[in-house]
Amino acid sequence: MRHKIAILGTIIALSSASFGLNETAIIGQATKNPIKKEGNLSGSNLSIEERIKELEKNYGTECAPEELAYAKTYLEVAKGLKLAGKTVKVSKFERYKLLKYADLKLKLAEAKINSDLDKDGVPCYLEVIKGTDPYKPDIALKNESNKKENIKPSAKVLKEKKKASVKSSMPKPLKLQARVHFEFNKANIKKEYLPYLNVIVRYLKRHPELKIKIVGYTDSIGSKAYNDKLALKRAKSVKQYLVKRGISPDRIKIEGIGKDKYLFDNKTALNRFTNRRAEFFIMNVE
Amino acid sequence: MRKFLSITTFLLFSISSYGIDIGQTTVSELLDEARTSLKRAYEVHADTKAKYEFNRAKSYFEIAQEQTSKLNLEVGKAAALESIEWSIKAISKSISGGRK
Repeated sequence: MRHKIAILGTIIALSSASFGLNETAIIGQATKNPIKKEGNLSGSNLSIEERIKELEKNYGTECAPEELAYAKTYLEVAKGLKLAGKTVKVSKFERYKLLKYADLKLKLAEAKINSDLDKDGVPCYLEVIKGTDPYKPDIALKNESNKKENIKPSAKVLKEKKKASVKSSMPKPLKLQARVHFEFNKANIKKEYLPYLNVIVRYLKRHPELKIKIVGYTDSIGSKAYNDKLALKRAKSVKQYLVKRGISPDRIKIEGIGKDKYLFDNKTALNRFTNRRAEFFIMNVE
Repeated sequence: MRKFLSITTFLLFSISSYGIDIGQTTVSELLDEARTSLKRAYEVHADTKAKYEFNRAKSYFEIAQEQTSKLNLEVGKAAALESIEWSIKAISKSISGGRK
């Protein structure tokens, strides 16, 4: 009997120690390495608290309010709540569970910031920066505003329209949102961009007279020579995808610009992510 | 003696779980209040107009329910109170216009 109790005691002690270890691993991630690794938006090197702060800075409240709210609540409860002046805490196991839940919610929130919620081709955080509604496609918004305003066009506008109609006989530029973003030091296309690339493929198949140029860009990290190579590699991987989907390689030209023509400054991970991209341009029309 | 002890334990257990406190707000009362506040917030469309605040209230309410069911009454009370606070914030944001 005593032997059995001793074994049971050891098991309980070991399991509680392992919970403790996991928990300190989650809470104390920041103390080990507080610097976020470039390009890794899941922020595995950051503590949950720091990831929440980072998300709040990067429009998390607008793009993923539900996930952020839940993560923050889980964290607050895990830390302990105040009741009549004293702090009440949950058990160690509960705390571990809550921190895990918070981690999951944060991963979802981080994915949502970069995702295109209204499927108009613009990622959520960019829509917030632009001041457009991330939950409504820009085209729908334009239509709504046109309906609401219902203003008669002035003479100047009519002139411009005439000019535009003359121009319309000329070939139109590629108006689709065509931009692919890449992870740090990588040139493979992320799965979430494939639907947009398929739209481009359809467009190019509908307009066989068009030729396009794909330009690859990088962020500011690394040497110029390496970034030039990487930029070209990114453009090449997009070209390969288009060719695989049936576009003739003769219609596609590629270029790697590298460390130049940034969309945003390179101060934050999100801005660097935005700068690491490949863009499409109409080259010439036969 | 054993019967007496088991009956007393059962009574104490049921009293604590149903929160029959004298002179204090009980967990069940707070949970009811939290639920009502959340419902009011939903009725003024806070779930779309004040998403963040509404979800804070909802998450606290869920935790309050869970902790109370595990007889962690203190945490249940604190979470229910937080839920009520966030519901009020959600209602006021929703009424004042909410998300543009």
